[in-house]
Amino acid sequence: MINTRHRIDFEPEKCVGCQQCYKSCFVDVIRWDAEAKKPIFRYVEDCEHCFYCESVCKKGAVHVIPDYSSEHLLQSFEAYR
Amino acid sequence: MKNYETKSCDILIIGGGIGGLSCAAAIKEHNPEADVLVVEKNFAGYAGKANRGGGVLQYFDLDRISPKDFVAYHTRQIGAWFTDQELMEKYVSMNTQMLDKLLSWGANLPKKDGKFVVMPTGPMTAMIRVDLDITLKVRRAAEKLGVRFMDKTVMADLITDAGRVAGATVFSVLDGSFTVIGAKKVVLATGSQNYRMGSMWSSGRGDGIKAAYNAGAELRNAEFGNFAQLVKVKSHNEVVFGENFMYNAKGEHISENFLKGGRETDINSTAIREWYLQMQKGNGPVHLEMGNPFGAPPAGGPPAGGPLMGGPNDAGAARGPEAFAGQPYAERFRALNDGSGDKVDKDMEVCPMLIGEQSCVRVDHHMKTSVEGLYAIGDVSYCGSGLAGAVPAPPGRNRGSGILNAVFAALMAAEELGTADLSGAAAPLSEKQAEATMAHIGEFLARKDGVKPEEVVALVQKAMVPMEQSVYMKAERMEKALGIVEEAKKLLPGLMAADMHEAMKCLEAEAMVLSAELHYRVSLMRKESRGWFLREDYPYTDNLDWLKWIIVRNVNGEMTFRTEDLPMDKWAVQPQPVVPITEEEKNGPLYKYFIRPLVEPAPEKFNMAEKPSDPALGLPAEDMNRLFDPGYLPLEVGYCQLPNGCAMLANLTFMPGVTPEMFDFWFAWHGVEAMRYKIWDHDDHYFVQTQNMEKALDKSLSLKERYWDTTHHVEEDCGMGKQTIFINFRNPADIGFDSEKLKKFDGTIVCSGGEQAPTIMVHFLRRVPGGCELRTRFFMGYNVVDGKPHKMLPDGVKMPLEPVQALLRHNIKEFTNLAAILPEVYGEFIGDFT
Repeated sequence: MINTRHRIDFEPEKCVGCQQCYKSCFVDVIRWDAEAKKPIFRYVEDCEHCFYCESVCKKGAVHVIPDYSSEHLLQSFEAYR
Repeated sequence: MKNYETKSCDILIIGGGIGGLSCAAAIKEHNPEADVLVVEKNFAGYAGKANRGGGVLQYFDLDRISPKDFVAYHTRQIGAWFTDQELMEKYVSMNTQMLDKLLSWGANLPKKDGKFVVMPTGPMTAMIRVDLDITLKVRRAAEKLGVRFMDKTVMADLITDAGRVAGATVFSVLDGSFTVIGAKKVVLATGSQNYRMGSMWSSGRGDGIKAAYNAGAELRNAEFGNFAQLVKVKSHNEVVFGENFMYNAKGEHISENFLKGGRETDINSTAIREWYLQMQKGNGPVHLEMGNPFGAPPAGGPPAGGPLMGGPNDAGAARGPEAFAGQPYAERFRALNDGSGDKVDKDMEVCPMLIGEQSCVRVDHHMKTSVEGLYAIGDVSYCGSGLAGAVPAPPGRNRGSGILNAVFAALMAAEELGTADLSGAAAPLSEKQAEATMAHIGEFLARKDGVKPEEVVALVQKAMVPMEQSVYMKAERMEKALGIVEEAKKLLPGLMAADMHEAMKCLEAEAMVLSAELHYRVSLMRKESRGWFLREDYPYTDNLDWLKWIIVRNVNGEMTFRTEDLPMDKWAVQPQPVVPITEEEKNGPLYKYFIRPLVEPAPEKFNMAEKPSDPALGLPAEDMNRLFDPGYLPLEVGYCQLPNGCAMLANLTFMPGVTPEMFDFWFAWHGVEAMRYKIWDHDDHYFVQTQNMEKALDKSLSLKERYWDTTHHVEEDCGMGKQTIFINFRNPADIGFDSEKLKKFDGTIVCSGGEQAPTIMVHFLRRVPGGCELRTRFFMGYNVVDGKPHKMLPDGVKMPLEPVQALLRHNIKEFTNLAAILPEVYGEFIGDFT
């Protein structure tokens, strides 16, 4: 999807710098701050809410908050309801 | 001075999903000396789709079914004759080997008492859950085997030399540095084209399709690339198996409109069409009601209703922890996904979402493309390999085949690559090509007032996503969509990027435009429906004209097309042959009726033709006027010996929407041209020619008069082999029907018989609510003498019954089909005929 407004909440105090969330992103939303040893959620507009980063974070520091209303299926009858 | 680095390897694998990693590991197992490098846009082992909720592997119980059984099933029911039967047999045969291989690489496959925990999905198929760390496990195995990796590295384009692949130009998405990699062999493992719609499929952006196309590789089956799935309307969470439970706003179970045979093991495009038609009629919205609408499941089939597979996203499935016992990744992943979706979706309203899955790079059985040294595995070539048949894949009505196809393709490629002689020199690495690719990306970065990639993607999605454009297709809707793709294409030279992340997206936007253009150009060419490929304007599968692949190739920047016949003669499972037709007949207006599959009669009718009936139930020809009596005679479907030694058969066919005039039209009209007879029953009707053409064409006569006292010379197979027959059509009053009763009769009787003919044929058609019913009688051993039926069979002789039974079966078949086509044929041709 494009032009979505999903959010990723991050609790830095819980983060242990394992890089799992960074590595898990398959659409390059998450980058790595080598100095701070923390993820940077750099391209959140490209997040597909696959939840993989949140799944692999063993410390529960990452939270994907989808905004489903910003996703459009683009079907002709989408506005039917 | 060069502003890029140069590297080399023996085998370059582009893409670090399950396919690329399996291939890398398997090559190293064959040849530990091979220098194998995997380049991945994100992180190999985390990238791709296998670890994002796919989670299932196809399983074949090879003790119960043979690979050949599945090939036949797939060819007929799924691949719609486009399955590469040889490759499919190999795929099925290697099932255990592939599962063992994944286990040896560390994949977590559930076992109980030493056996895989298996979930049935259909009479032939089953699945095994696999935890979502599967790709990572294979990466670790590959690392241990000595495979090298470059993560966060985007393949910008391939480099070729004189029709041979030489390497690739890549860049780091982190710092923008370019590397030119020379390789003796290159494997594309880049996934399919998913147009950036569904979340778990979002990484499939067609990079490899574009790279192969640019390199001049052949593409095929590009038209079978639009999978769609029912999703909940708010969370867009998929509802696997939902197609069985669809209801419209009137409370009708609309799944029955397309699932004629009951439950399916996977969604078909007919479900998508049904959704569209219901919405168009104002019967929406469509929602799912869990339960058991089809009754008990067939033996060995998926369990009906309630918890279906206990898996993620299944309609009505139990999603408790027990479904993921021992699979912590899958459990956590699914809890997050569903938990989030369930917050917004309170009900089960559904609509389709485009998933895509174009996977059209043509490869041979070792996954080699038509470009020397270039291979393509997994989702980039699933359709291009011919394994999928006429369905997008995965899952393409073949659940659990996605991951296993990737592993299969990887092993097939590795078999050749792992034993290849790598001692020779690589092809020369063209700096010019690499520099042109870098300059192209430099332009994205340099442009200030340009087009953002999302603007292009938005147009591609506008063209590809509406189901009536890309799944339930029609020429004018496709033309419109292609126009939108053309608009998107015009924007490409203005693409701009603020950084390397956006530069990557610019390349992806280019690939999406290419895939969309391929889809529509090829789909417009395929003038039929087949498998998942559904056209409103060509609704039938045309095995006469379209057992052909459409091959696309880039020749000096121009998209070229050609067709290639499928090698049906090499394959065991063949479509039912139909009677031969001429080129002229193929191009004529009746061809569309000819290619339709014959409508299948209700099986109970054939059951009634199993054994001869009691002679006492039979109607002797002398009593034919009893057909005028209201109600039914004792024998309406069946055959028997009559007490006098003659034989008779009876058949009853309901003909919805048919009128007596249509029936008369049919007999007046069809004798004029052989093709008219062929469309009645394309299995058995070879030829017809009226011997009274002037009469047949005389518009001053009534329809009845145009066939009364005419003779049709026909060639047909009535179940005893092809034979020549002369049918003398008569006025029913002339063969023994009561003139007074005929005057009052508001139906019609088409009959034949004469002094020389040993059989009297009667088609007695009367009106019933909703149309007509046809009561057919054949009286064998009777001729017509002095206007009345006369037993011509010598006394003491009995008519053999075998041909009578065969004729009854034939009659059931031909009239079931005529009932289905007659109103339409009449509507189309009555105007010119009268």
